Amino acid sequence: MNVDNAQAQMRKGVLEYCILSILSKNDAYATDIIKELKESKLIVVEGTLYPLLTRQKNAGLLSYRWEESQQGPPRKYYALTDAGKEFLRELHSSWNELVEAVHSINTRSSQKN
Amino acid sequence: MKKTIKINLSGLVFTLDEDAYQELKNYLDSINSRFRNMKEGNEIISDIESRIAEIFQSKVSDKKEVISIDDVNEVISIMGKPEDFYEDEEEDYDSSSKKTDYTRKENRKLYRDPENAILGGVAAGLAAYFGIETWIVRLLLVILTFPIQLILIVYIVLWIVLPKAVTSAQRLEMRGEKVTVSNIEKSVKEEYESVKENVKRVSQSKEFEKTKNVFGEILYVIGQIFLVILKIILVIIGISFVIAGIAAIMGITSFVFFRHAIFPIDSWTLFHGVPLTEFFHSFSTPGTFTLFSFAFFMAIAIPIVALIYGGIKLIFRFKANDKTVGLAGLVLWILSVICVVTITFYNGSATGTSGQTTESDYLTPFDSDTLMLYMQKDPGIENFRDDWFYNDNEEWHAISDADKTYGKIKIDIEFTDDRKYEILIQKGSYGRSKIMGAINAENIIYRYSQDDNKLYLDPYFSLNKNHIWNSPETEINIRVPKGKYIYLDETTKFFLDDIEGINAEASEDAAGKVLPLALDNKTY
Repeated sequence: MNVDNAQAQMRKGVLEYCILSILSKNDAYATDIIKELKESKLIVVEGTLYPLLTRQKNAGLLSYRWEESQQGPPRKYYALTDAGKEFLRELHSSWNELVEAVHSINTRSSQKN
Repeated sequence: MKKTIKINLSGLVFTLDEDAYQELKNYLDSINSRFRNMKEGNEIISDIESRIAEIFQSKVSDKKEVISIDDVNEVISIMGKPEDFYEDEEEDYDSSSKKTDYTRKENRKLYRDPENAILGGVAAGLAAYFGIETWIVRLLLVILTFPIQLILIVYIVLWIVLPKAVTSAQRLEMRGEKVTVSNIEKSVKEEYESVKENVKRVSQSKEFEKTKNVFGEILYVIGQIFLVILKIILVIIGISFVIAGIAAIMGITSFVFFRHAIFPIDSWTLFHGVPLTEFFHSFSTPGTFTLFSFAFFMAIAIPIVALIYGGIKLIFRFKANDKTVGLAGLVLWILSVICVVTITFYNGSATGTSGQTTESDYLTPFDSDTLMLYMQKDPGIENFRDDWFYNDNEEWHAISDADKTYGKIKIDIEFTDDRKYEILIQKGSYGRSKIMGAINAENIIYRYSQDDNKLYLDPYFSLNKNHIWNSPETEINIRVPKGKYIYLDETTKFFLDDIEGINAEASEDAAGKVLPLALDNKTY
C-alpha cells in the first residue's frame, strides 16, 4: 500500500461525481471536461475519460448532441439528463456526508493526540 | 526524404511520416484490444480517435502538413496508454456495476459463437451453453445427421434465429460466466490475437463502410459464400482422411496382430508376389518377431494416425499442442523404421546359404504297369480352394493357418534303371551355413499317400510357425523304372517342374498324359 496508489484510488472515486458536476454548470465536450479535470489534477491522461462518459451516457445520466467544429471533427457535446441531475444531487449529499465524516474523525483523532 | 502515409481518422485525412504511422497504429491497436470487446467499445474507440484527430488538426498548418513521430508521441502522452487508465477502469466498473446492468445473473444464453465457428457457430454456441467440448457437439451433430436429417434443418434454423455472441459480455453470457470486468479482461486478453487482425478493419474506420459501394458488398458476400464452401470442402476432406485412416489402421492391426482377421490383406494386389506371410514367418526367434511386428505396425500406423489427426483437425479446428505430439510421433516413427530396417538386415544375414536334405522311399509294389499320379484334392487347409489346381495363382504363396505356413511343391519325373518306383522328397532351406540350412529344411513336413497304383501328393509342404521360414522349398522327385509308366493327372499341371524327355518350358503340357510319351496312345 503506497501513497500514490491510495491517492489514485481516491481520485477515481470522485471522478464520476466531478464529471457530472462539471456538466451541471454547462454543456461541454470531452476536451472541455478534460481541461477542467486536469486543472484540478484529477486525471493525468485523457484516455481515462472516454469510457466513463460513454458509460454514464449509456446509463442514462448524460445525453449528447453533435456540434460542428472549425478545428477538427464534429464534437460530442454532453449534457446532464434529468436522471443525471437527480444522480448528481444524491452524490452531492453523500459527498457532503463523507467530507463531514472524514473531518470529524480527523479532528477527534487530533484532539486525542 | 521520408516516406509518408495518408490516413483517415474520424473522417479527416492526415499525412503521417512512416514512423509516426507505425507508432500511431500500435497505439490504436492497443486501444482497440483494450475496448473492442466491451459493450460500448466501438463508441469509446471512435471518441478517442476523434480526439486524436482534433489534436492532429491543431498540429498541421500551411507550413507543416505532415504529422511527425513527435506529434504522435505527444498525442499518446496526452491520451495515455491503455495501461495508464487500465486500473481506473476496473474500479469504476465495479462501483458502477451495482446500479447498472454490468453484472448479470449467472444465466446462460444461447448464442452462436462466431469465433469458434466452422459454419454458423451453432455447435460452438451449444457447446458453450451446455459447458461441454465443442468437438463432442460437432461429432454428435455429424453422426446424428445421417439417420436424422431433421437435424440439418434444425441447424439451419438455429443459424438464422440465434444471435451471434459478438461482445465480451455476450461471450461470457454464452458460457454462463459472471459478467464482471475482470472476466471481460480475461477474455479480452485471450482474444487479443484475434482482435489484432480485426484492428485492420477498424483502422479503415466507419467512413470506409459508408463509401463501400454495392459492388464491394456483392464481392464481400461472394467472398463469404466462397469461404463457407471452402470450409465445407475442408470438412469433407477431413472426414475422408479420418475414414481412410481408420480403415487403414484396422487393416494393419488385423494383419500384424491377428494375421488374417478383418481384411484379407494377403490377397491385396499390392502384396502379390511378396509373400508377406512367409516374410513374417521368417524370423529366428519369437522375440524378434514380436519386436518386428510392433515396429512394423508403428512405422505404418504413425503416419496413418497423423492422417486421422489431421482430418479431425480439419473437421473440428481445435487448438492443440501439435509440436509436442508431432515431435513424439516423429521420434517414435523414426525409431520404428530403424528397428524394421535393422531386423530385416539382421534377418537377411541369417538366410545366407542354402542347405538340403533328401528322404527317399520305395513305393509299395502294385500289379499295374502304370503309376497314377494325383494331387491330394483336400489337403485339409483352411481357405484352400479347389480351383487353384486349375490356374496358376499367386495366392499359392500366401497360405497359412493358425499354426502352419504352407508352400507349393514342385514335381520332377525321372526314368531309372531301377526296378521299383521310388519317391524322393528333397527339402531345401536357407540358413547361416549349409548345415544350418539343412537343419532348417529338416523341419519341413510333407505328406503323400498311396492307394494301390494311385499316388496322392499333397500340393503343399508345411512348416510349423515356431520354425524359421527361410525360403524353404520342396521338390518331389518320382523315379519311374524302365518299362513302366506314369500317368500325370490334370491336377498336377501347375506343379510339374522337371520332366525327363520334355522341354522345361513345356513341362506343364505333360499333365493329363502317360509317360514316357512314346506310348501316349495307351488308354486307361
